[in-house]
Amino acid sequence: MTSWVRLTLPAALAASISSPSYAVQYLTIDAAKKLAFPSASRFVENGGLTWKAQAGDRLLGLFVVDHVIGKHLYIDYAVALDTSGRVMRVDILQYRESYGGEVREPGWLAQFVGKTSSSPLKVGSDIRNISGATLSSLHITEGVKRILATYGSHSR
Amino acid sequence: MEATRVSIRRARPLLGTFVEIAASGQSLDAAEAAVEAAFSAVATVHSLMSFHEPGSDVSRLNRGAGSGAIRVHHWTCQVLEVACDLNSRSGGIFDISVAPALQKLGLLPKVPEVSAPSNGGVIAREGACKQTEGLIPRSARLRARLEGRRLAGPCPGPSFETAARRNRLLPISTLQACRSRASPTSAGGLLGIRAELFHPLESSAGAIQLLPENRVRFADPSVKIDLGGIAKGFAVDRAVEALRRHGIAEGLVNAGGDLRGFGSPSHAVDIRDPREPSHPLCRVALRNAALASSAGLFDPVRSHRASASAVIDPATATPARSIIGATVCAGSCVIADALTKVVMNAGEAAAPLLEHYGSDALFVSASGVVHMTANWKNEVRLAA
Repeated sequence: MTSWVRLTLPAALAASISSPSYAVQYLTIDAAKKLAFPSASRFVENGGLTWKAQAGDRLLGLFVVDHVIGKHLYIDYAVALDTSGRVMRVDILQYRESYGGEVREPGWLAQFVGKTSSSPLKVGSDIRNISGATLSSLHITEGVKRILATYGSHSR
Repeated sequence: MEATRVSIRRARPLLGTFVEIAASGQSLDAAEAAVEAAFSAVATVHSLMSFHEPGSDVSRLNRGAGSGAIRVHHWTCQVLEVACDLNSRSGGIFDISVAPALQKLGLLPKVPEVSAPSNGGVIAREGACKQTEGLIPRSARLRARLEGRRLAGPCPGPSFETAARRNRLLPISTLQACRSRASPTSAGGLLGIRAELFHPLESSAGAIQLLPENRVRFADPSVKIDLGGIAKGFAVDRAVEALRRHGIAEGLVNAGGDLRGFGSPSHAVDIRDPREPSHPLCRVALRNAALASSAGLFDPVRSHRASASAVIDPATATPARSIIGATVCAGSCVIADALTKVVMNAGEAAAPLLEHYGSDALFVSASGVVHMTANWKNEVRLAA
């Protein structure tokens, strides 16, 4: 039978503006360009952080890099538009968030890291996975809408 | 000799949140192709199960399933089967037909019209934040539930595996017969400490009829469903399936905190403190398992504090209050996701259901006490 243990928490920590930031680099701009337009032979600068993806002289679409504000910090993302001005894909390039705090019992943590360091995939050890109240991606969605309004008719 | 592996980690905005997929493959191209297929599976789940997109299965059902059977994608059918089974096993605590209550609270918009403009393929649940109070009157069904019969306890209904067999009538009559047979004294089992609060209900199992050939019919037109409490977990499971199908042996899929890891590595997962979401409450070791959390909606731009929970107590049709955050670890993410809603509402009384699904859980009460299943305490470390 499932039983429960109960632990009383200390008072919630006061919000600290100086809490350490957490950042993940998912893709460089160059890597994201190639993933979005694998058949492109070149990317022609189009002003700002936008590029025309071309296969020879044939236009494949437009690649736009933008950022939106996260908590205090920017989230960089890339949008690939096809020649009809539709969104082909949206990739997060770099995610930054003010998120920090220590976990008790560093000895236990060291043991944990040791367990995973022998593994070829370091997803669990050097990367922070976070679960809890869901983060909204609303600002990315709004950003994509702005990009569509700005460039949707320029990708043809 | 172990083959060289390439590990990649990608993120996209999907399901209204950030979906992150990490995979370790034989080559960069192989890993990228697998991750692409996994994102594609998540996008498919989004397009089928979004409450907000007029063309989704959920919207089609909400518009028309009250007046006739509607055929849906077999994934939608699978989710509905799991949802109905959980509804029955939780004595109605898990209920996908609480959409009218969410609409009343302004957490869901009115049922999207077919003619609503498309948002250009950009996926979002931003409608969840819009004020739409009063657009949909409280349904007769919800009223009936509020005035309704007292609930019988959990019943030994058909197993999840049985219910998951597709293309046949879900044995609703069996579930209902079973419920009516359950002894009134068994009500304390699952409902426990909150039993006095429960005056439900007509279960969603009774309101939703799953017919052969992936067809679905609602008992009456006032029934509206929202799969927001379960589809994200299902999407994570489909993404994991896609990665494995592409030969990925180790990976992690995280859809805004509903996540599942597979392969040999153990993954450290920080769980946000529901009182202060920018700080960890604890760290959990996760290996070949799924983890999901429910808490307030955390909008880091508008406030660093979590706002009101979107988890609705079916008995009172209001947000769950005494528990401010819950996390469940289970074999599949769809079960972990759904069980967080049960734990948010039932607290320690969810123990039999957790045990049935071989799951562990922790939850935080408003008074600042962490309740954790005893099996799990060696895997969880509290933050300072």
